[in-house]
Amino acid sequence: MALLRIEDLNIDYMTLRGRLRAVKNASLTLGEGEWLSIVGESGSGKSTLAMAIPGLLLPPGRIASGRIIFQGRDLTGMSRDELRRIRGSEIGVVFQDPLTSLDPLRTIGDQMVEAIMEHRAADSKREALEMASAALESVGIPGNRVKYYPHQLSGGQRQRVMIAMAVMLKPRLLIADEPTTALDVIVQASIMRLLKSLQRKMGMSIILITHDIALAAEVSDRIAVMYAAEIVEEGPAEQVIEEPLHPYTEALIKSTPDLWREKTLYSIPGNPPDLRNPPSGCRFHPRCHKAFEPCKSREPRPTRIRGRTVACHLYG
Amino acid sequence: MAILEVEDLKKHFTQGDLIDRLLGRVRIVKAVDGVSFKLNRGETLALVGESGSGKTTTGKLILRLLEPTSGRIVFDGIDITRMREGELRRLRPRMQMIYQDPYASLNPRMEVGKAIAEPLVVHGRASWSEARREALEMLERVGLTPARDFYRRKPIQLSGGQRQRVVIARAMILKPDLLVADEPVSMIDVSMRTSILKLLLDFKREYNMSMIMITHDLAVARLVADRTAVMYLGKIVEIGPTEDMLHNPGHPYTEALIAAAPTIVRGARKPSLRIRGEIADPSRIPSGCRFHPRCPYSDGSKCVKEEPQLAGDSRMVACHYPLTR
Ligand SMILES: Nc1ncnc2c1ncn2[C@@H]1O[C@H](COP(=O)(O)OP(=O)(O)OP(=O)(O)O)[C@@H](O)[C@H]1O
Ligand SMILES: Nc1ncnc2c1ncn2[C@@H]1O[C@H](COP(=O)(O)OP(=O)(O)O)[C@@H](O)[C@H]1O
Ligand code: SF4
Ligand SMILES: [Mg+2]
Ligand SMILES: [Mg+2]
Repeated sequence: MALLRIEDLNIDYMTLRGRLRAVKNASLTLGEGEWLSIVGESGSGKSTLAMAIPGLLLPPGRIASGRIIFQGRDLTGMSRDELRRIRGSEIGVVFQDPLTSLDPLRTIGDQMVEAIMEHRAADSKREALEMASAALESVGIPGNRVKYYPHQLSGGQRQRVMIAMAVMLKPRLLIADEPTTALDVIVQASIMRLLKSLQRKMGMSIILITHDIALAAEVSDRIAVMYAAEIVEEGPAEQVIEEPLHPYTEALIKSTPDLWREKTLYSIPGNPPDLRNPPSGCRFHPRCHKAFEPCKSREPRPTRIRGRTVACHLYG
Repeated sequence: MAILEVEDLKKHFTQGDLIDRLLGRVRIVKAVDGVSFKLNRGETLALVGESGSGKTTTGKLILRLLEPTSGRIVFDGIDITRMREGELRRLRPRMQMIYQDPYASLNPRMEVGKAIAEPLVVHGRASWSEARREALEMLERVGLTPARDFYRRKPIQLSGGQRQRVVIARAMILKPDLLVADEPVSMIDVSMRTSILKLLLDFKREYNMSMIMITHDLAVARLVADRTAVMYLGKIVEIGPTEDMLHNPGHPYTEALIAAAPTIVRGARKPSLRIRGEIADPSRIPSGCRFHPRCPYSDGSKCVKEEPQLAGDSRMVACHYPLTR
């Protein structure tokens, strides 16, 4: 059974310089307990897509059309209050920079208790505090750290606290937007290990946003690749990595430095396009080494092949 | 010939105000705690380690952007350890540094072309009109074309990768002998890192420049560095030729850094990540081997009591039980 189904989602930012479509015709399905990673370059629309799910699009952004079906209900039609209730209790969110989402003047315990009480998940403050300290333990932080202020923790610990807050009410879905981009490799590896164990233990689904396809390869069940506001390829992680269909996926893999492959200095030629003025036809065609006649003029339609979806003229 | 020689370099920050001092509560943060290495002309050395291991402080000390507590820094045969700012000024154009955050290293109000031209004028190398011409050439070189269009842009009108190209152009316009690049690609998409690194390598070759690449990512070190020094809590714990070290790490911490690097290769023969906890507070450096509280190989006695020294020839490791042999 699908936990989440995104259907033909379009998201715009209305700016002074005109409309910018940051997510175009996106469709995705996420099963119970599945880990989906959304990868792509900076500005490709990953965060916009992911944040639209729990209703966290920032002001000039709005959903132009499409549906987001979560546990059978369409989130796009819900009120702010309903969405707020779902966030935290059914969908947890972790952002890249934990300092911007934690209040520096209050202890982490205070902030956790407030969230728990808001969702009426405990009968008393005391019970809430016990829940908070258990949640910290579950992410590998001693429970007595509820008394700490955010600045008393390291970057990696703060991100663990954010994860604890996001999962303490046992959501069915956790959305993590570049949770380790500001951290170094060892901390990143331990945070990924933590997420993996939470996914298994709680049977929770995860959507991870990352620009690092190697990181996605190591942890995900499925991978969706975004380019210039579009999902160009989606499928089981192993297949996407071992046998990429879309030339962009292939280039992304090739351009990723990797200790376990031959050393190359390959990089994708050109720059990602300006979304106010995207290229005609296939948006990747100016940078694609396989581009042929129809690519410039016609937009490729998403096609299903062998359990995967790919939008490229090479595949019909 | 060595362009740079660093000997037993230390930087200890004293933290605490007068009252703390009176109460004996000062903390001594040993950010860099005895670092030695040589860098040859045209060579690239990577300084690798977690956040807090002292990489940035080492980089700043080398360029005398910070006052060393003790030790010696010899740049191109000249001892600059205690050199005064007036004298240093003449050497500054030959030693450049670029920083992690391309947003912070550019003046938001200045046209980027002018930012690139400025060092030439400041160091009396050219008039504004000559500098402008050179800056246009530089924009072309770093792939920001049409150069005339980019010259007039403000940093906010550029992407992160483009900004880092501007920062590189600004550092390179003086044709320095030594570049310290402090995590120049860690804020840039993985897929765009290689093109920035390639740019640095091209300049390096052209100017026969020497480079210190600071990074926490061994995959970055591998692409650019002839040799790599792994730092932990203010000390070099392993140093040697990069590729060799990656294949056959000698220090348990190097092994951990390798284990933590993500790979797309399924079933890659990767060591497992067995390191515990987090890097210690540099004002409370653990006894014996400073890595012992996190080390899966610690014997619990010698490792806790005796500090291992860097030993070896082309590859040096500071560990009582090196993994090599
Ligand atoms: N508040 C906003 N107003 C206008 N445009 C925006 C806004 N937020 C994002 N955009 C634009 O929408 C597009 C997608 O942005 P988004 O942040 O979703 O990308 P991303 O893939 O998450 O990138 P990154 O890796 O940099 O986080 C970009 O072109 C971006 O400039
Ligand atoms: N000006 C300073 N005052 C006190 N401590 C500092 C200062 N600069 C750096 N440190 C400390 O020194 C240690 C090493 O820092 P740094 O050189 O920035 O490491 P890295 O670049 O490897 O992350 C850290 O614990 C840091 O907090
Ligand atoms: S000296 Fe002991 S504690 Fe230190 S790295 Fe070697 S084995 Fe580990
Ligand atoms: Mg984003
Ligand atoms: Mg640093």
